[in-house]
Amino acid sequence: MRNILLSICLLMAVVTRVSAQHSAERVSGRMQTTDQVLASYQHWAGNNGALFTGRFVMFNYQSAWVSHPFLGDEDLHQGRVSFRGVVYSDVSMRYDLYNDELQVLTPATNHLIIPDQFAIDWFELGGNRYIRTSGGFFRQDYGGRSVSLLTRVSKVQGSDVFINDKAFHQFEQKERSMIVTPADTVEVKNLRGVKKVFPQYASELTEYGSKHQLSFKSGRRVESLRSLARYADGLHSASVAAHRGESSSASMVSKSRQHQPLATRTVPVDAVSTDSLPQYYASLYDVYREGSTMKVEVNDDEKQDEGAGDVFRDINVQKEDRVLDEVVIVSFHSKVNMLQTGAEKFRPSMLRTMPMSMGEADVMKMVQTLPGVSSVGEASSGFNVRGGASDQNLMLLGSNTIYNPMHMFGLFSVINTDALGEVELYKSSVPSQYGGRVSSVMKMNNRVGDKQKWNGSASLGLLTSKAMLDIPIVKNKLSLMLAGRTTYSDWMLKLLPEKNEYRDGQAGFYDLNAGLSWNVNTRHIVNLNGYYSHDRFSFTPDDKYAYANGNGSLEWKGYWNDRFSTTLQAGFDHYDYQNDDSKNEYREARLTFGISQAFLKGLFSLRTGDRNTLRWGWDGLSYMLQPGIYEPLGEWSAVRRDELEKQNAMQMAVFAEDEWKPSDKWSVTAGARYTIYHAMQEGRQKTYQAPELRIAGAYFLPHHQSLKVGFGNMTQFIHKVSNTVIMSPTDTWALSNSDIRPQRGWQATAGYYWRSENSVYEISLETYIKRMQHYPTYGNAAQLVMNHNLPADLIDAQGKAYGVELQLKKTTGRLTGWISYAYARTFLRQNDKSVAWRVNDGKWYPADFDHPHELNLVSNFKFTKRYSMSLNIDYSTGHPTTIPVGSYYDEKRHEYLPYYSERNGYRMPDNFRMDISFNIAPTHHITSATHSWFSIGCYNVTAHHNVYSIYYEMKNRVPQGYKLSIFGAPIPYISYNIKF
Amino acid sequence: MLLGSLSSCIEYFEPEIPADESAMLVVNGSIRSGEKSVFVLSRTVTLGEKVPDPYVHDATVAVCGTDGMRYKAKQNGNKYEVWVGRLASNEQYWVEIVTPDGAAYSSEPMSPVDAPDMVGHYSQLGKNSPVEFTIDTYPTDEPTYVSLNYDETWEVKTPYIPTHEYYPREKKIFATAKPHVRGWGMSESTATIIEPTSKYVNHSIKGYKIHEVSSYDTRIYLLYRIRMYVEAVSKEEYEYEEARRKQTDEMGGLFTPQPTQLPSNIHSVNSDRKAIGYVGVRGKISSYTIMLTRKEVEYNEVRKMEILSPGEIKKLGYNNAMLHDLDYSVLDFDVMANGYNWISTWAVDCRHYTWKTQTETMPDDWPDLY
Repeated sequence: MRNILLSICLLMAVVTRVSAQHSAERVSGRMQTTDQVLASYQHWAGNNGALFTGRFVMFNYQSAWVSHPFLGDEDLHQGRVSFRGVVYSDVSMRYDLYNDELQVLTPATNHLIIPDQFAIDWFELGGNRYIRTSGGFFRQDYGGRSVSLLTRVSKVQGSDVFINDKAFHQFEQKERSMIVTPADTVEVKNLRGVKKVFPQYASELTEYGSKHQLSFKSGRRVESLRSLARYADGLHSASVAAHRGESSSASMVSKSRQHQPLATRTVPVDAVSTDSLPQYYASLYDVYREGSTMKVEVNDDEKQDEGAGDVFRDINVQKEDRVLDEVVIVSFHSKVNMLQTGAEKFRPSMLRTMPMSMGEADVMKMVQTLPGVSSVGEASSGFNVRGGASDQNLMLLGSNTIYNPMHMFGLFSVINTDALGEVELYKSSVPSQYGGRVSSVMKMNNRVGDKQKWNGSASLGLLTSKAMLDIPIVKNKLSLMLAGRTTYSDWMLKLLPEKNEYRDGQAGFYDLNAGLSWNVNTRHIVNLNGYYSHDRFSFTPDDKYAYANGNGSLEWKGYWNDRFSTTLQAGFDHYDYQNDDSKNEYREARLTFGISQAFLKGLFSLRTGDRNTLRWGWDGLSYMLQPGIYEPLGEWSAVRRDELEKQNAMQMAVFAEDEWKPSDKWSVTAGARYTIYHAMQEGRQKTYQAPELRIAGAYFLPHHQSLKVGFGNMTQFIHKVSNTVIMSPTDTWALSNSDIRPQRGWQATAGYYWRSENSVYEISLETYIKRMQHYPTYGNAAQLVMNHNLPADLIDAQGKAYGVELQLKKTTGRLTGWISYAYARTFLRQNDKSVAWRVNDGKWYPADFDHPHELNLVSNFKFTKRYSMSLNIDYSTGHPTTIPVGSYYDEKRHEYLPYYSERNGYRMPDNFRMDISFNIAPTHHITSATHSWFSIGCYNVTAHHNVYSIYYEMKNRVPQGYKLSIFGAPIPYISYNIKF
Repeated sequence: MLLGSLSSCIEYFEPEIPADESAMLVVNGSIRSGEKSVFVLSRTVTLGEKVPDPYVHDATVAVCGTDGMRYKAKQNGNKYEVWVGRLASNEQYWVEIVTPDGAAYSSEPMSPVDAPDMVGHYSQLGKNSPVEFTIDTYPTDEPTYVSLNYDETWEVKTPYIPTHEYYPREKKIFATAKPHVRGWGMSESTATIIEPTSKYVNHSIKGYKIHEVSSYDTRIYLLYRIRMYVEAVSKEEYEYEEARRKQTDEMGGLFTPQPTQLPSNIHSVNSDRKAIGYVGVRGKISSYTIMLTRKEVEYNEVRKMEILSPGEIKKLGYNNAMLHDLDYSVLDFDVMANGYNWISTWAVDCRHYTWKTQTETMPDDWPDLY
């Protein structure tokens, strides 16, 4: 068959030649030589014909050979060829390994020819590229910046085989691999050979080979050599870059290395994977090798708090294997290197592997596992930081304030973690740009939509579902991020038994995030963000509650040069609730509350020198508060409308902060903030001034240790009106005025920090003391709802808190996580002399959120890259409570009445909870279009009854006590998550 | 939330109470100028416990003053009573208590506070409407806190006088030696109402309804007397009563305010033991008395009265015991019928529960009109 085909080809070639000649003759009108004909052909064909010029394939192996000399098989396959710089696609070809020549099939005439081999730059066949070298064609197994791996694939004549006593030749395939560097080209066969090429990386290569279990047996050798070459290329390139002072990222421009690189701030690989943040806005500070670890330093331009302040560029973390085989980024924002005490930073991607409450990753629950952060109990709204009340925490979503951070009485947070970027929590040493709350600041940055490609995620759970989508409207310019979440628990409540009091109840929520991000140019970014959440619940059909958060902001960031940047923010925040009571149609009524605020903020940052950064700005806020409206509902209602007087206030602050690092050993941050607050309520106008000081110092010791101190005072002009232990549906807020003084507090902290040499382990030990003034407490059983004279029931109290926090963290390896212990006390005292009866006779008493001992364990173990397990353990002392310690006979009422102990004189039983989860990722290919994973777990594995509330009911005219535990049984959950 | 509901757990809670917070002394009462001061001493018990006699007996109770006075109270049943006479507004007074176990207590010395003058009213819109009693206080220069109370006494008289009486134990009818046809009942306010006069214009309370009696209540059947009185209390006592009131109504639920220990102005002088109660010092007490007869108010009789003749009884087939169980009593002997007439018990016996009487002895200060 082949002989017939070849003969036909030859015949066709002759005919063609004759035809061409005749054509030439016809064209030119005269007879031309073959060369002239070919030249004319090439002229008309142009580049398209250059490849298909050459001698015909003549060799016929069939008669004497039992195998063929070609790559793969004898058939022609499609490929690409670069011939004299011109790339030809869809070329039918085959590669003769014996003669080391490429044969191509002319597309029009189907002639198999051998083009000029020396004019072939490269060709691609069978998924590999073969490049032309002086020694012939080599398969390019790896081509890096400094290192390449080329393999010479050839066939040689092997020993003859005898078939029917007839000798036939056969081919044997040989491969020889070469490591090519700018300096040399060396043949290598195994790890030893590669080490000879790179003796300076011998130990790393050995470790790498062992770790990845590289094998150099036939069939796996090339793959292993490729892997080694890639790794060596990374090492070598970084080393070269380090010497040259260049960034190893093609897109970055690093500043000159006039100073030592900052202490390494390394980032968990998960945190910069495109799974969670497709575009990580940061400037690459430096890439260098330290010991056996590749260090990639990044400077977060969002913060510029490290002072490096490189020119801003987009940096996309490439998933391109040829650059680096593996970047093990060991820790995120190591506390050793941070300048402040009490600062925590993390990314929501860390939540993925944590056991989830109700199957939903929750940033609020995550925060409560940190030392110094606690809550009153499970399913409680808000949290307490170092002895502060829940309203003393400023919760920011971007630049917007969130007033009620929890859905459904604290079961879920209002923040969709898929719509979040980095989260920062300042328990002390709060930067001067923040103010307005006494205890802490929690800043949750909005996620910025991917401007390069579509991304998305979705999660389906038993109670909630959510989805997020990044839409690149204009590539590299404009993106839109949309996220939404909802719950669907109503139908489940209907499944409850008829006798269950919750059966007729309703509960539901949803929240929506939207973010538009516009890269005006490489130096200016505009972000527009919006957020809305809505909750509704009712225990009975005639008692309904609803509340909502609504926020919007516009932000412009300008990076004028590598030293000066500006951020301007404007927006509004709104929170409201309503309660409809329709038990009696004649007394049907609605109670509402609302607060709105508009803000305008400006932040400027100037790096005056290599060791000094100055920040300053302003922060303006306008409050509009409707404390309560009580109005009739329904046509038969006889309720008389009642409305509390509206409250308005203005708050303006200016701040400045200087961060100075006189040497590598120590740094100082000194800031001041000055606030003027004016209450505009008629008859209660009042102006308050609040100077605040923020000082932090850090001293860096050898061997990755540091000592830090900090001091700061804060003032708060808005207060939550609540005298219940947990969030009540009718909790409202009140502004300071002539009757209600602002809360003031100060905190002093000190800490010791240590990080292991390889950044695997980290220990922090912090201690603090805190004092609070004008903390609002209320008279015994004061009525706060629709209270026209709230200040009469308000009692000034003092607060004091102190504690020690110890945390041990492991950041890399198969086992990661942390364990923390805190001993913390918080006391209050009503010392207002104008009050007739002060709680506990004016003595110090434990606050509602006083937990002397807290122990948290957060751990994650990776069995493989696809399977991991998480275990969380929480232990804390029970929170204080006031209980009836006896009863006494009342002469007038002729019955026994309860007698209560001192306020918070007793404690609830200690809390203990263990959660466990398994995470399974079916797809783990980088190039997969989607990534999905299952989370299966159990909340409260040990079924410990953590007491949430103690209450009493009269039974036969005698008070009987009950303990209520929210989660009295293990709660299994399963959720399916997908990213694309 | 479903899972939380299903998995939430409610268990009994029995706290361990230390010794110093058990069996605490409870003091009820106040020092009254010009009136009998009455004190009741009792002990706290553990939650859920009921004791037959919670009172403290054989204690020494004395009212003392900075003017040197010391009046020892006499025990009268569960109460300790003492007359202290007029109290001077520029002196301070307190009570001293020594319990049988030797623990000594003392209240905080306080000066008496005079109540504003007052006037009482009653009104009834119609026969089917209740009789309402309201008070007004006179304006004062300074705001104060006033305790509003009342006590009531009523007289009843049965419409019929029986001549005979059935004795169920003997199962015989005897001639009545002393028919129970006239009786008296007493009651007093059970809720402590304390109003701050600061809420009112000129600190004068107007039209505050202190009590009401239904038109069919037997208290206004014949002769009814209500004595409304106003006592001034201190701000501390007001807050004490408010705290006491709130603690009985709302008992530490999820969204209810945190309770707290009751304030007290009584302390132990020889130990760390605590005491419960507030002993106030009342100055002048303003009162207003209203007496009502059938002429002033309309009584709406809703009870059914039935007289059964011997023939009807025979027809119904009732015997004496059955009639007695059906709440009938003997009225008289019908000679013609040679049998006894029976009548609804309430019509011949003032001790019947519908009359709400406690005694057949006329109170000392009662006008003998009937």
